[in-house]
Order: sequence, then C-alpha cells, then structure tokens
Amino acid sequence: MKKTSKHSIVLRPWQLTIVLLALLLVVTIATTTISNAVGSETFVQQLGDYKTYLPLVFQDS
Amino acid sequence: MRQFSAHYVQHLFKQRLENWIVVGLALVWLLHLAIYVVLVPPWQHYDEPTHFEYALLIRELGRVPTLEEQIPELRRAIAYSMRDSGFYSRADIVLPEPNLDSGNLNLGINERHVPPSYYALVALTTLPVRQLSIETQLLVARFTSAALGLGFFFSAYTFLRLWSDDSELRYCLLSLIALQPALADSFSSVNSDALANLVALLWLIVCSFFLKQRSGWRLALLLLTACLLFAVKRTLIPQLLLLPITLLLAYKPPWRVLVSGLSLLVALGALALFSQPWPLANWIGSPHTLRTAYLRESDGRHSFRLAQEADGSPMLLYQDLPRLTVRSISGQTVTLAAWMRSESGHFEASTPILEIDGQAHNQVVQLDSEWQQVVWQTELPSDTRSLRLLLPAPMAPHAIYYDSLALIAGDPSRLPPRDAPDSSYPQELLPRTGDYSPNLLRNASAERHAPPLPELLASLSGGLLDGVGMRDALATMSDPYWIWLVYPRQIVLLFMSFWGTFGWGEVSLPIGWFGPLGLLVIAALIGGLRYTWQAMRAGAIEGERWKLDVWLLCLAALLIAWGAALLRVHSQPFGGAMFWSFGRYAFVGMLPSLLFFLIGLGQLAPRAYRNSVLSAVLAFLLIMALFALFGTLLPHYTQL
Repeated sequence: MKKTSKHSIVLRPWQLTIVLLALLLVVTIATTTISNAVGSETFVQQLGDYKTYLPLVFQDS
Repeated sequence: MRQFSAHYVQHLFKQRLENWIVVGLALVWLLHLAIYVVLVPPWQHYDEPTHFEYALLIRELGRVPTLEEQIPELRRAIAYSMRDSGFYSRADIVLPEPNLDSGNLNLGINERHVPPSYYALVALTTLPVRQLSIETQLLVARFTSAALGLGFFFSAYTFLRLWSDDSELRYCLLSLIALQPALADSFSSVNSDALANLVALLWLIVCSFFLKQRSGWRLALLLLTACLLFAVKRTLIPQLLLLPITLLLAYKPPWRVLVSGLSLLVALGALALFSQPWPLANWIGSPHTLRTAYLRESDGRHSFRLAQEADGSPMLLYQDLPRLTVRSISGQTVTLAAWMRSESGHFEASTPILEIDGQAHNQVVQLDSEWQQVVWQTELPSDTRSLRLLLPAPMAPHAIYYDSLALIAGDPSRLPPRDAPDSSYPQELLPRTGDYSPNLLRNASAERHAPPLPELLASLSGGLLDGVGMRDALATMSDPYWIWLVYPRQIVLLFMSFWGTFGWGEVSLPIGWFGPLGLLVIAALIGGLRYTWQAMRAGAIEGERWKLDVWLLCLAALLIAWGAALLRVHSQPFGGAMFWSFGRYAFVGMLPSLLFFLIGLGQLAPRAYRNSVLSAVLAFLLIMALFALFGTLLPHYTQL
C-alpha cells in the first residue's frame, strides 16, 4: 500500500482488484447463509417448475 | 521516417499482441464449450431429443419432414439411448417410463414448427458418422453447436473492432463471453438457439455496418439479413424491429414530425382498442356470444347472460380443462357449482353441462329471478382423458344468468367462496389457505376480458393470432392482478437463468451467487444509463456520431430481447401448470447485454481504477464459471 499523506492510504490497482474480489465472495457467502436461513433455496429449486411440466412433455400422446 | 517506423512497429506489436490475446480467449471459450459438451450426459438439455430427431430426419429423408412424420427405428433408438443413459430414472424427478414399442412413443415437444436451417446443418455434420452409435452422433451434433458458439465469439470480436477503439474493452467483453456459464451450456446443446443467437449477433453487426456508412449495397445486405431472421427461429422476429430503428437513426427524420406521428398512431390504436367491446377471456363460443354474453349488473357484479343469437339459435360457451388438470383429478369425485337465475319468470333449465370424454352430464333445475346456488357431484372414471364444461342458453324467449362457476376435486364443503380466484392465476403465488380447494375453471365469474384483435390482423395471420392461446395471452396481458402476481418472480427468474441455469431448467447455481451478481447488475444499470446520458449530451461516442447511433441500437436490441423474454410468460403451453420464461430466451440480446453490463460498471468506477474493478468482476465470474462446472453440474450429473 502506498501512503500519500498522513491520513490517506491509496490502494495499488492490483490490491484494489483483490479487495473487490474478496468483497464479492463475501457477499456470495452472506447471501448463501441468509438464503439457507430463510429457506429461499426452494425458490431456486422451483425454477421453471420443471417437475410439473416435464412429465407432461414425456407423456405418450 | 524513423519516427514513422517506430510508430508502425508499435502498432504492429499491439496488433500482434491483440491477436494473441483474442486467440487465447477463444481457446478458453472453446475449452469451456468442450467441457460442457462432454460433461453433460446425453439428452440432458432442453428438448434435446426432439431437436436431434428433427436433424436426423432431414438427413435420412433427404428433405424437411412433415409435422408428425417419423422413422420408428430412429425414434426407438433415441428412446433406448435415453433409457440407457438414465433419463427416465432420474433421482430428482419422476418421469413416466415409456413403452418403447408404442406407436405413440413421445420424445418431448415437437420442434418441427422451427425453420429447418439449423437442423439441415446438423444433418450435414452428422452425415460422416451416421453408422456410429446414436450417442456419438449426438456428440457430433453438440460440437456443431459449439462451432456456432465459436462463430459467435469471433462475430462479437468483429462487432467490437467495428465499434470501439478501446482494446481493453474488447478483451473484457470477450472474457465475459468466454466465462458465461449459461451461454456455454446453450452453445453446447443440440438446439436451434445456437444458430439463432449467432444470427442475432450478425444482424446487429449488419445494422451497425449500415449506420457507420450508408450505401446501396449495405442497404441490400441489411434487407437480405432481415429475410434470414425468418429462416432461423421465431425468437428472432422481434429483433426485426431493429430494421426501422436503424433506418430512423441513419436517415434522421425531423424528430418532431416523428414523435407527433408516433403519438398519433398510438392514440388511434388506443381509440380503436377501447371503442369496441372486449370479448370474454378463456371461453370458446361464437364471436357474437363472446362479445355479448356477459353483463355488468347494477351492484357492480359481473355475470354471464346467455339467451339467443341474432339468428334465433341458443348461445353456447364452453371451455376445455387442461390435460394436466384432467389427469390430476381423474378417478376422483368432482363437485360442480354455479350461481344461476332467470331473467324473468319461472322455468326449467339445465345446469352447466360437464362433458366427460364426450358424454354429457347435467341436471335439471327450476329457476326464478332470484340467485340460487346449484351444486352437484359426479365421479370421474380413472381413465378420463377429456373434460369440457358447457354453459347452454335456454330455449327462446328465456335468458339465464350464471355467476361464480366452480369445479373442484372433492366434496361441496371444499367449494371456494363466491369470488375466489380461479386457476388462471398461478396457485403457488396466491395466498395459501387450507379452507377450500382451488377452482379448476378459468374465468369463472365473467370478469376477465381480452383486448379485441383487429379482424384484418387476425385474418392475415391465418388463424394463428386469434387462436385460444393468443386470446388467453392477451387476457393475461391486460390483467393487472395477474401481472402483479407473476412479473416480480418472473423478472428474478429471468435474471437468474440468464447467468446460471442448466439442463432442462432444473439445475441452477446456488442462490448465493446471484446476490453479488444482482448488485453488479444494479450498478451496471446506473452506470450504463449515465454513459448513455453523457453520450447523448455530447452527441457522439469516441468523437463519432455513428458510434452513438450503434450504442442506441444496442440498447434497442437489449430492450427487445429482454422484453420479448418477459412477455413470453403470457404464452402458457401447459394449461394447469405455470410455465415460466427462461433467461435463454434473452440470449439473442447477449452481446448488447454484456456490453451494457461492462460499460455500465466501467462508467461507475473512477477512471484510474476502471481496469481494477473490471478485473475483479472477471475474476469473480471465472470462479463462478468453475463453480458452475465442478460445484454444481458435476455433482448433479454424478447423482443421476
């Protein structure tokens, strides 16, 4: 890290990349944790409601 | 001279470096595609069996097959392969085991309504391997789609070379394509979407080419490519709107005249729509009956009024229950209920008629001018195949009013209240209650109407636009309650499935990945709008007016693609089961979407840190793409 003055610290570009990436991954983990806690995984599982229409698609005409 | 040479050498070096980077990214994309081709077990893509059968029929017959034509041995070979690869014994879903010797053997949704271009291509590429196993032929067909995916990549590069001098932007966008998991899944499946997505991009390039410099032959190319859209897939037809937009941007008519003209057209259209009665939605009957068989009473309640047609014959309304609904209630006791009254006086009339496999079941009731609820029960045979409900009119000169019709599985104690929503509304989105059974009839209270289609349009479409499905779609489009229930969930589903849904729509990245993606998309929307505003104020991008026009064209392509994907939810092919729209329907706008995403994010970041921000996003997408492959798909397909 580069010190520009007594009170400000400026990140080098590659350091900023790592910080942002870490932030995105932290949000990923936080969203996973929250969704597990509130049970919204079922929302993903219902995606497309395939369980309802797939058997219909493969029913003999 | 020396200065020129140094500049030339530098330019040459930069060009060579760019070539290497682009080839490197193309190899990453190819590897990504190849992994999907090999990793995903046979037939585990949307409608892959029927897309594949269509292509092989062209190859074997030497011509385009008719809608129901089949080669029984070919169909059986695909079905055997599906069975042997575990398609019917999936752990996550119970599929009916097919009778492989049945004459009605069904491989899924018939794709023969799609133009044959893509299938003819697959027929050609699989020709050298026609003696090999069906799985090997499928693999070759999948690699054909992957080759189209490579074409998509280089077409994107062509567009970027044309539009932007910023080489870093080009690298970032090509990286985004190479790392998009759902796009890799789509381009590695046997599906005409692969050609459609490529042609949509070529169409955008041709339009941009024309905007850069107008000429006679470029205009001819533009019109020829427009014809090509019809030959590939119907999902491309909305993209035809780019043609008038391109011409408007290129020839720049006086905007005031244009806006006034468009406003007048919209006003006339609205006037035409609201000045004539809207027909009843969800019921079938004569056009006159559909326009006149409902009545708004003095207390605000709607009801059906059935009397005689102008020629004296009795009016009739009916609706067929969806196949899925019939199957789910066959073998059970059903209760039919209706509120009925006569217009005046006493007379004997029929209750609504329930036709079970063509056989009529009804009762006779005494009616007077007071509302009364008629309830009766009947048993459905376990092999019931069709159910139709008819509302008959009485003999002249009488008229009957019906209201709050209901058909439920179970006894009368489970009947819904008089104005409970019917099954036209997605059951899973309605407030849950254990007090009553869902009403299986649609538009049971005469409250829903569909906008009328201009007769000229309906007759020009040859019956396509005025069919029952289209009227049902128009009815939901004009129903704010339906839209209120469906759109919020649909928009989330479109967003999620654009990035990370695979297979037949049943495999998805864990929900956690969509949190940061959502934040990035919101940031990109803000940045993209700011970029557009600034470019419009400057009147140019990179100092050139035509580049601004191309950017506006990209925005139009993006809006058309996403708008069409959203509106698709109004088309419900499986009555009785909600069929949601998927993000893959927006892939025809993939390049404009990713370009907007990238430019929007870059715009929000401080100039000095733009590359750092975009590098972080690309690294995140790389990790997500790897997780999609090895953390989601591999475990899922290993379980099957």
